Amino acid sequence: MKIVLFVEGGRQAPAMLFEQCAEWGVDLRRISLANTDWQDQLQDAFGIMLMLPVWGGNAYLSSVALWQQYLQAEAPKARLVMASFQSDFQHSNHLDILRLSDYHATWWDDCQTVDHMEELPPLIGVDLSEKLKRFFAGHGQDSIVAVLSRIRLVVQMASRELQKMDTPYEEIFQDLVAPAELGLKWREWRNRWINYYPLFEYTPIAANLKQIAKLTDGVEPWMAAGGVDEAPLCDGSILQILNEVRVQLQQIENQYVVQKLSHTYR
Amino acid sequence: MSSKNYHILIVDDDTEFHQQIRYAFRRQFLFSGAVNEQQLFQKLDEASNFDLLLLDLVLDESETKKGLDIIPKVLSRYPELPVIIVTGDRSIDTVVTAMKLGAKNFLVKDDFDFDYWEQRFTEVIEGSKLKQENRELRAEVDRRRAMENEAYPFIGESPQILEIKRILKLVSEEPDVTVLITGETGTGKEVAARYLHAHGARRKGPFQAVNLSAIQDTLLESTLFGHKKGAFTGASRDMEGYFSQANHGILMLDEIGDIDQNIQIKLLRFLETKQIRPVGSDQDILLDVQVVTATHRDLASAVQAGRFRADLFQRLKAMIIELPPLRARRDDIPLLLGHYFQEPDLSKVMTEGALEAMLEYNWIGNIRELKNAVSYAQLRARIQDKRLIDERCLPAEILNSDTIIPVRAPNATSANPQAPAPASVPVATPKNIDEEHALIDLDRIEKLLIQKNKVKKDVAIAIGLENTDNLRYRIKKHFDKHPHLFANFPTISQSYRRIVKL
Repeated sequence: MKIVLFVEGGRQAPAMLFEQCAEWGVDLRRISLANTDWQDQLQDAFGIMLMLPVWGGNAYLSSVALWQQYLQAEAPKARLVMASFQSDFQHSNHLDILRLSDYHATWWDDCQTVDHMEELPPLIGVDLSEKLKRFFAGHGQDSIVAVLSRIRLVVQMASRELQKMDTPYEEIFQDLVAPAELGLKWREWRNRWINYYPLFEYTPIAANLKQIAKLTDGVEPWMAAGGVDEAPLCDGSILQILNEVRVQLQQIENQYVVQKLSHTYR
Repeated sequence: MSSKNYHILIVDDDTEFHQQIRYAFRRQFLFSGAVNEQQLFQKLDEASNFDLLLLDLVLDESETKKGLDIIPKVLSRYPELPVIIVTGDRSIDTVVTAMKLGAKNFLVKDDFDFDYWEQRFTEVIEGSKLKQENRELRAEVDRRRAMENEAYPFIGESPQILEIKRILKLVSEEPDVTVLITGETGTGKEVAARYLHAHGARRKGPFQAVNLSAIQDTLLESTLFGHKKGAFTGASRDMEGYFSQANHGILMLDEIGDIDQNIQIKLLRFLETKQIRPVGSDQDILLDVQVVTATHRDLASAVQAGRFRADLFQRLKAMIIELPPLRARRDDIPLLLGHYFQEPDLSKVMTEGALEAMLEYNWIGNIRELKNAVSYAQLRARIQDKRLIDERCLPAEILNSDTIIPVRAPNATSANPQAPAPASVPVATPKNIDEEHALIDLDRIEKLLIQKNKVKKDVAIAIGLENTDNLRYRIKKHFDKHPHLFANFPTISQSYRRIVKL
């Protein structure tokens, strides 16, 4: 019995797909990407099946490139199977749900492993790997990381002044925190986050993003108040959360954004 | 060290970032700011005392990396100003491009870390200042070298000297050839070597000249090749030798004919391998030194007599330049006098009679003797309150110019330095060229001791030695090699009783 992990992609999968797979000797298992348990299952699995295109953020999306990148790094011998209703999509790993009866059990054996997968023809939906690049792009209006790094810069400077230089918080607030308008910046971050977050719900980075969402909830009240309260800066809790967020983001960036350079020349 | 005085110019379209950086580093640095290229150059033109430029790459909403175009513009106008890129873009392509264009470092805003950034700012500023100081020091060294070479001008327009200059210029294009300069003492062998240095590929490197006969045999090896701490009694620290000091330049070894066999072997090894080994070290050091040697001795005879290694001689004579004695190029005497008197019109400084005497004199000590004679004559003229130097101001031996190879009679002494010396009677016939040179030298010292009332310091100066130690050493060397000659020189024997034990 071949175990294949199934990523639904925001849409109900037809029951006949599961029935047909069972007939072929394929155990199609739905997985939740909100946690990382599926990563353990992947080690014994024949591959991953994506239901395409993904529906998220009120748009059709293509998560294939991100999954391909993930599997190339973590499970290069796994098969990435693309299930869709897109009959004109020609690829050895594509399963046309409208023509399931045309496939045989041997079809699975002809599926290419990720490390030998041929180039993909265009798929319906917005390419999420491109979206992810915008997510990290340094100066652009779309970059969520740019806004967060500006907030972190101010928090880092303010924490250092408080903890190491013993500068009174009134002075720090007046000269650094207030002019930075943290409340406004935080709203900007939240708005961008709301735009991005749902897009990646059916991608391998979903668990990281969920963790980030949970972390940022913790700083929400302090940020919304414009950083008036000195205590979270004194004990370093705000900076700690932002640093953890940064670590999560760096993990994603390191794995999925092709050109990267963390802490230049350090 | 406090870095407070370093002045940093930030160029970023994000004024908030300016304010934040100023606040964070307000205790460490002074800041000025610009938000675009126009303001940047305005600031730089107004005050050129910035120590560092922090440049963002994206300077407007167009999202193009204008900062990359600005780097070469800034560096072409302000090459001393170091540039650090501070931006949000962390792509490798951008970093590589910026660094290739001349940026000293690349910092990503998202990676802000106070200590790390402060360290980078200070490092880049101080590194740049160090480079600048280094450039200035190099320029100063070049200037001093040029001055030093000017202090040793190769004066002469006689055909022999013009030909030698031409050859030296040709040789100077071969920075690795070993050159042997021969000629009598005082003919300007060091001057010729400096001329070679000043015109050659090694002119930017050091020039070291060492008179081997002035260094005690026991110290010669460590003086030339250096030593390690504890290599011998008194070696309290590591010491570089002349070879190391002359690295990438020229080392002139004067009186090469006087070195012993041990040093000859080591010198030969260097010429063959370019490696030296300091005394007490177990490691060789590879050096890039052009060796110029000089001697007034006949090395070929020394080889035949077994005092000089034939293989070393073969190496040294790759290029031999023989300097003529001054008496063989008398046409250059007025030029040399003009140089030492600092007056080309000699009629303004000396009488015709004095000039004639100088032109006719044999100048056994060659140019060195001429130089000393000029100093002596100037002093005598001042003492005698004379506007022009006349014959009476000249050293006595110039007026007695019939002493070409003079050897004094054993008992002829005179307490009067002005009194003409008695005619020389060679009582000892030299057996070889080495002995002949020793006789000439000893006779000269003997005469000078008499002239100078046995004041050894004056004698040393008169024959161009730095101090009395050198004179004593010279006498000792003569005595060690030719003790039988000293019977002819009672004044020397008397003055150096501890050395001359007849």
